[in-house]
Amino acid sequence: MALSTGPELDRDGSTGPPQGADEPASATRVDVFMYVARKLGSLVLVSVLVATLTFVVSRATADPSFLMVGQDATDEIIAARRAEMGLDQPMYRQWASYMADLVRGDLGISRRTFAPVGGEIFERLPATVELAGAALLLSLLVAIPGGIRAGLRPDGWIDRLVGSIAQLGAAIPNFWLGLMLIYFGFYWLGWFPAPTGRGLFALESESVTGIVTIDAILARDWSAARDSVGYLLLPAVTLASGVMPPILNVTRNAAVSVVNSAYYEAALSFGVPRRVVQRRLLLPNISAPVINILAITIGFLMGGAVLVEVVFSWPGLGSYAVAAMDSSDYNPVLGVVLLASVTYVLVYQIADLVTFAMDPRLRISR
Amino acid sequence: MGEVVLLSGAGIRIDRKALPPLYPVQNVDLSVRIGDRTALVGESGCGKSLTARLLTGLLPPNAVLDRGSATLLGEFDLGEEFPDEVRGSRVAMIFQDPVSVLDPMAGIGVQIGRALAAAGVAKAERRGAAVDLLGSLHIPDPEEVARKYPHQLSGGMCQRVAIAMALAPKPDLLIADEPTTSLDVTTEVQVLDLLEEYLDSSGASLILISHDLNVVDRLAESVTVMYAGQSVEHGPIADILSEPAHPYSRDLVRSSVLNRGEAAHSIAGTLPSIENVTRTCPYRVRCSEARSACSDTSLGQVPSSDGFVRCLFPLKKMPGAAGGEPV
Repeated sequence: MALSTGPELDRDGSTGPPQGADEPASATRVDVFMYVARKLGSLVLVSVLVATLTFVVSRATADPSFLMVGQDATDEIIAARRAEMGLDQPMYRQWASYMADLVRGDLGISRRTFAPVGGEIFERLPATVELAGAALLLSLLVAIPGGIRAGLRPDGWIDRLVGSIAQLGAAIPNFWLGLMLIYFGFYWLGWFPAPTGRGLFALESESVTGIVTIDAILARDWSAARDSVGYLLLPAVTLASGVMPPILNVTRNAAVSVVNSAYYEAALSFGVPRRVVQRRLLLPNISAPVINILAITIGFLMGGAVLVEVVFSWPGLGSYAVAAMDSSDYNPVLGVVLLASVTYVLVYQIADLVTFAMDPRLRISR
Repeated sequence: MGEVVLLSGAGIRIDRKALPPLYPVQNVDLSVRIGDRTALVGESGCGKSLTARLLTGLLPPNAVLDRGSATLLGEFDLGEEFPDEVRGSRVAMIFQDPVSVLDPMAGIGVQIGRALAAAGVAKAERRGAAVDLLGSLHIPDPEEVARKYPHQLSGGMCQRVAIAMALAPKPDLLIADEPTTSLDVTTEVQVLDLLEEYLDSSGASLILISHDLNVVDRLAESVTVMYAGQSVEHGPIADILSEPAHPYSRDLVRSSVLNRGEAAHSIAGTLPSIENVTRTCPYRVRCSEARSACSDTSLGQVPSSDGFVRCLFPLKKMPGAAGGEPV
């Protein structure tokens, strides 16, 4: 106690703070630059590590040349094939050329379709983005306002209601819910189209974004938009039911801790109206954990929701990877894994940066 | 209106999930008139802070005014929903832990601006008014401080900022809950000076909550001593410090560091359970003056607001001694 008195008083009382107070802005800018540089550095590092891992897996599962030539091939054919594929080279050479290929966007050839994997992934990416985006949007619409309302009155009726919905969503298996929605929505009620993928064919104009719903809206093609939303809604709801509960819980718990905090009570006691306190004080203070869980969710969704895509025949990355796996076609699987991992890390770093930019405690040192 | 605060026999119940309720405040009489500077003193856990929260309408959601009556500024029944606008301009609060009281995500100028907005200051003038306010609290380099964030300030500085926010709307009643407990001695003196300056210039009333009789002696004119959720004695500060009527007041004064000459005296025993409402004297198990009548006589309401003691056998005669009745 007595020891801390000296410096405390210095900081309090002195008019000319000693530690470069005339240039606080430039000191901060260096910090920010270092922070961003560190983030980018770790992004590159993790990407290289993931790529190395997929490289190791591709070499360890089976000799790729073996898989390509078939059972009746002679030793000479295999050797020729190995030389052709560069598999007779030392491991580090193979690794280097694998990395070089990746940098060029070359993810290898699918041995099922004989097409470049990069192109196939690029073709299917919009479907996954569309489904992931819709599921995320639905989740946010429920989880953020629901979580905040629940947190404002813990154990109130809203808290209980959204808590039960979240528990239900987390407990029901995704694929089962998908099947039930198809049964009732398509077979029974006939409100929704058959689970045959996206409403691709309704759109007459040219695709701009690759995301059918957005393309249709951009072209003011309302019947196509309605159609594609019809295809999109059931898989999106199914997917959202799984990812919404954690977002809701995190939002709710963050709101509870802010509402119980001394600064929330104090702001009210200073006469700041409740709605101002909720908008200006509650929202920024719950942002860090909410952004964090959003990053995790986006990373998860971009990996392709395998089960949901399969149940709804959705032509995204998940069903692509599953189809490839069925025929021991490894390049597509590794490509999807690589893309998912890098997206994950990228989203996570962006979330970190946003948090960093928002929170003065991280941004500005004492 | 006369009374700024009038509590009579006020009690607070806290409901718990799957557990019996708690009664941390059981029987509090408190009468504060315009310009009064009074203090609530007692051990931690005696219900002081909860009483303060009752007065600002900021009880936790599971706590309710359970018995007695509580009126603020002669017009607001604290058992009912409390209008938001009353806080700030009519009654404001200063808290114990200044660092956690400030919004960590907002700049000091912005935060004071929010309080000023609530007090009706126009948007364009808020920044300047916030800086002026900091300057009027003798904060060096107020413009620099307004640009900073709470984590960049010391505890003492945070407390002065919090005081600036509480005083911004010029409240009629200031409730200070252990305002200097977490500060070092030099800062404590500065903070007490600030509070005194405001009270002198505005004529506002003060309710000071503290366990530190030095601080109480410095700011307050009268004292209400609380024990186990009950107000046990009320009177002018000089009387209670020199000639307390309730044995607990005497023991509290003795145990305080105020009497530097004598060795500090600690009170044996602990606070009674708050799971039930006690009708008899809650202090009797620790009281050196207790007699057999103390355990089977309930203590009634106290009539006088000038001074009272809630004890069957007070150490001196008081105008409002509690009339006992058999349980």
